[in-house]
Amino acid sequence: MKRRQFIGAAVVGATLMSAPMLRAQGRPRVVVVGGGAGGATVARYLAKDSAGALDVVLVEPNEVYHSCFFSNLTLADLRTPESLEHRYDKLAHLGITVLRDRAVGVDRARREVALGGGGVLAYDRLVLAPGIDFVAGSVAGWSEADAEIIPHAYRGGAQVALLRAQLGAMRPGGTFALVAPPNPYRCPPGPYERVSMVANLMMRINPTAKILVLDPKSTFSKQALFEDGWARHYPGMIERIGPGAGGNAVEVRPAVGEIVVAGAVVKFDVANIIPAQKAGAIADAAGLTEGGWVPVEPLALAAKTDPLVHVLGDAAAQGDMPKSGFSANSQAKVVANAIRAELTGSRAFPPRYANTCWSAIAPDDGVKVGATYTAGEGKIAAGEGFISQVGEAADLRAATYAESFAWYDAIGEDIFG
Amino acid sequence: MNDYPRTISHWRAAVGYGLSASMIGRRLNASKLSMLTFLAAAALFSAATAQSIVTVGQPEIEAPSCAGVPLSASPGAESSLVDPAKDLRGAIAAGQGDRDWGEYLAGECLTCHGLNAEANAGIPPLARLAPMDFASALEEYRRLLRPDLGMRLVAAQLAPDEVAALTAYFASLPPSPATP
Repeated sequence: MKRRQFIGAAVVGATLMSAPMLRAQGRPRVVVVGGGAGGATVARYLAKDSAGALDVVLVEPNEVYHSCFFSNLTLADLRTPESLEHRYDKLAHLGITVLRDRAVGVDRARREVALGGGGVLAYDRLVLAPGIDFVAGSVAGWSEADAEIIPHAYRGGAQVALLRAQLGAMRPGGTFALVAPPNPYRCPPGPYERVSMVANLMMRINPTAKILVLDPKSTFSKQALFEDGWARHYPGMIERIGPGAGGNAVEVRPAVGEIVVAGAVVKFDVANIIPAQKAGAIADAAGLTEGGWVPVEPLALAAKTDPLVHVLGDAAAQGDMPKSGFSANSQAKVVANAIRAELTGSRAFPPRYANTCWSAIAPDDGVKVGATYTAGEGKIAAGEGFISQVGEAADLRAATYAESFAWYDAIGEDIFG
Repeated sequence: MNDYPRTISHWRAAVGYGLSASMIGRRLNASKLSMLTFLAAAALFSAATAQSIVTVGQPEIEAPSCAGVPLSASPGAESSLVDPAKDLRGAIAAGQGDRDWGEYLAGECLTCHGLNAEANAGIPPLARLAPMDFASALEEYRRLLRPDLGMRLVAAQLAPDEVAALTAYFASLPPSPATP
């Protein structure tokens, strides 16, 4: 059996031999860990552009990717959960070896990745795009073990569906409490878009409900836009308690449905705890993290301590880009170009980075913030930017809202083919 | 698309006749007006800034317009996003653009734009845009004649040779969907 046939047979659900898979002769191997917006884009662009010159292996434990971006819209029934599902079959058809497995360790000296299924993958370049994990103990009284009762809902899929179900079953006039995370975290406007979407749902099915936001940050992304939108669409429903009033030091009592804020006990009916965040576990296992995230150089997101390992997306401490699916996708194309140039001698182009975050405040009321970024001194640095304005015409807001849906379709195709 | 000037010399010839945009417009049918708009904008802009290209006599030309909006934007329409040093020279040279570079640059477009997707609300797919429409649209964003904030930023940060590269890349794509 030829080697390529073996690799092909290994696509999806494969079991690997326990001995290391050796690098293919004459064909450098790039191992990509994580099949989200960053990792899948890197794999796709590497395979698409190298036309078989690279052996691209994507390691991803899940058969289906549920995008975290746009998942807030499922809370207000503006998208179905199924419409946020993506599979890896088109990437496999591009020649990428998609391994349904979990990377559990990296031996950087030997250039090998250990897999949860017992296999070992050798690499010439490694790309880590593991997304986020949660910082244990960051919200007193709550741990990830409680997430089946009080969801974090900060990964797409089951957790978001759980939160939607709980909101739908909440008693009339009940209280929904959301604990927002400290910086830095995935999707800066995300918690506040979530508040908007929950409020939208409540206006329809439970109009006397209350929403309490407990926030360790004094300011937040698109704050003026959200607060204006909340006043217009959901008057009197949303109360936010910032750090000056105890929002920075809450204690959750999951068993009795209480949150202690500045010494006062607040009863809740449904809660959403979004904890402090850090890079996905494999980044730590690889010995690359510093303060929870992986410092990377700005030209092509190589780890500052290992030029053979690129880390992108949420897990990277790259500088000024927000942690978003858009950012990860943008970074991925820079990384793919750089790796391909190094391994195949193809042309290397200067990095270009961009981000835009759309947020839905209500149906047909969308806002956005965006910027371009450059490789600066030691970090990716913000360049010019733009943001929607308070008081914009309704038709512009409706156009921005529609635009976000078009973006979702386009980036899905760009990531997964 | 065949009408698009493929080389700088073709463009020089087009401008060198000294025809005004309105004169040309009367002679040609409406389907070619977008090309004329682009050429006229190019001539106006290049006459002021692009010595390396315009070596023939300065064309006398009326202020061009796009969809009825004058391209000679008023000072009030300018913003910090507009860099006067960036002109249309690169776009004019479409067909000579660096396709591979364009393919790389296109990655930035494809985060939001589909390639072959059917047109959906708000963001047009790019593979079916004629090169000239593509370059003209970017120029209109750069001059703040189109409203979208995101595209104004994108356009303001594309140098002429980058526009040319993108144009060359998108022009090289097959006209029908060819998703692998």
